[in-house]
Amino acid sequence: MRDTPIEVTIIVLLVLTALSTRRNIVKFSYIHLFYLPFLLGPALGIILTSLQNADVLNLEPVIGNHHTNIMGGLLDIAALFQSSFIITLIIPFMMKPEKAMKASIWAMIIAGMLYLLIVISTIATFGPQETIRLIWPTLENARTASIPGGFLERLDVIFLIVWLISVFTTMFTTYYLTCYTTQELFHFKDHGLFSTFLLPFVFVFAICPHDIFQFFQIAQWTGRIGFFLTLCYPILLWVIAVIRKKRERTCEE
Amino acid sequence: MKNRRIIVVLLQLTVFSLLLTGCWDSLEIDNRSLILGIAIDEAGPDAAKEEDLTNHKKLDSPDLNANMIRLTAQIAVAGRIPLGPGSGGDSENSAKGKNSPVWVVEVLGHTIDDAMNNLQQEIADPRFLIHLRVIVVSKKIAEKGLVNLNDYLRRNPEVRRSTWLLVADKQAADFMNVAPPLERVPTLYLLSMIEKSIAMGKFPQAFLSTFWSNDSKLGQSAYLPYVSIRQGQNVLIKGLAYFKDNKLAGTTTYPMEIGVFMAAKGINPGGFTTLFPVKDIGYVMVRTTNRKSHISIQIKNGKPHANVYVRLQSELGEKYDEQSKIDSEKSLKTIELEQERWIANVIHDLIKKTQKDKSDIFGFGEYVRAHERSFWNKSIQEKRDWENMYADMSVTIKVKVNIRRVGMKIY
Repeated sequence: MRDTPIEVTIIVLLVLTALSTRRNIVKFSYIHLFYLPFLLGPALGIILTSLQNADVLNLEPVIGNHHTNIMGGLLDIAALFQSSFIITLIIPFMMKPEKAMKASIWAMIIAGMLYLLIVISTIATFGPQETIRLIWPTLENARTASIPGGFLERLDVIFLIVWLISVFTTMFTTYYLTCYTTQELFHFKDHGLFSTFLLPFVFVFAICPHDIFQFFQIAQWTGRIGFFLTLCYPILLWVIAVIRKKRERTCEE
Repeated sequence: MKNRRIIVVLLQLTVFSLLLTGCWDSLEIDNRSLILGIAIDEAGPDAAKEEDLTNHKKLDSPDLNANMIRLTAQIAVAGRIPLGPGSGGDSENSAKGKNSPVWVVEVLGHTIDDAMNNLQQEIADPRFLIHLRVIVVSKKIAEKGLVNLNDYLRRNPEVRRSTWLLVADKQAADFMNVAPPLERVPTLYLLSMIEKSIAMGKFPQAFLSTFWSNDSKLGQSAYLPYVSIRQGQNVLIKGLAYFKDNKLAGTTTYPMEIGVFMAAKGINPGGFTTLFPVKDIGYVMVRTTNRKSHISIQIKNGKPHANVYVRLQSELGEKYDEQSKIDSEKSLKTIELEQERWIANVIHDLIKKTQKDKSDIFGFGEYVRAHERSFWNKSIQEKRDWENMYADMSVTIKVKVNIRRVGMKIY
């Protein structure tokens, strides 16, 4: 893999995503449904096997020792849930839209629990101080875990497959969201055109970061800004709606 | 229309067969230099004169020039690594000579990566660390500190976290040449030696990942296996080599101290047997089968105090004296009490020794950090603070031995 230029890897992944986004929303949902067990199953398997190296002492005290930046961390984690906004796109196509709320709460719980389990198993294995030093703690966790009996001496291969699938589904979701909303915005009939049109832009953004540190910074800030937008814009709309309703009522009177 | 479809399918097939086979940057296994083991020794003061300047000009740094290392790598020769117990068969011939499954190469360097690149300059095939299983460092190198080695290994994505790092009492390079008859590949023998001793309860799990985690923890000091060569080709696990600030702070004196360390930490299975005298019965040997321990922390007069409560299950292995009898509940009780006293004593001595070296291998600090949060936040800011506190903390040790079996004989 080292001889493969990073651009080639990115292009292959992007073209695959762009081609997939040309499908309609039913196929979009089915693709996600298909990948779900391949994501959750191996991820849970890795977490369970990595617990053999776990030490409960590493998790204590639960609130942490010295003063920590909890608010910043909360914000970054909350930003990870942004792509769940895709559900608002699917609701109109649902057979029973009234169940959407229940479904999305369950989705949040499952995704959140998976995040939490990954963090718990990693910190329990390495301890907080060692985890700080690692660039990819979860990958290292999978590298340390081994299935007893010499069957698989390191699980990073499985982890990388899971990771790749999750990268694909996440990219697929956000790409689809972008295409679909742009199409709605410009009142086009088909969003396929936008999927091709967006491709060069996404590619340029993808190769922008120079190094891992810059990349982390960009990822953190785009996450936070996106979170701000997704949180504030609906609130703004809601406030406007409330004000307008009041006015409408006063007009009627 | 039909023709067009066939052409499209054919085109797809050719493109897929070109792209999906992954031949693009493949490297056959016999064109790789798979490094199985590494030994690191001091190179001596004059080594700078004979080095080949592969990666640098003459260095100005006196620190780098004075601390040159000699790296001995054991490279697997593809096709000669025996795959099963039956293949090949001539273990005597293969130890040294043409048929050896491994190739031992020695290079000099200022740092680990410098030495690794010098090594690459000397061997034809690209080196790979993906199968690196054992790293042996000499005691002298460990005393100077393992910061450089740890940094290199942590950065390198090829190195497994389950690699073993061992501290050798004399020359580390000798371990690359030990060829006992049990296993034809020396490194793999070293590896199976350690893995089996863990399975038998003779050594705690302490590979690189554990070593690094312990090293990072604020309330715990890291330890590694301390090994020695006996009779030219046997490997003895001599004890624990414990660290402070990434430098070797000391080693345990006797192998039995590994056993009591594991007892104090409650690491299973039990694997050590103790020989001690009992009043009216004479010398007996008792084998530990199961260890349990409970460590709790109290703060007394602004100082941490640890209570270690060890419970052991054991069985009677042997009685030396012919006249005495072990035939009652009472006599077993006497032996149990005597063993409790004996083990508590050895644990106490080990704690005293590590306290003198300020190396908390028991990880009492982690218990303080976990259970006495406000005390920890107030008095500990960095690892050094805990190491100093460990040096004069008090520990109460209580051991309870339960002899469950006496074997097939009554008297």
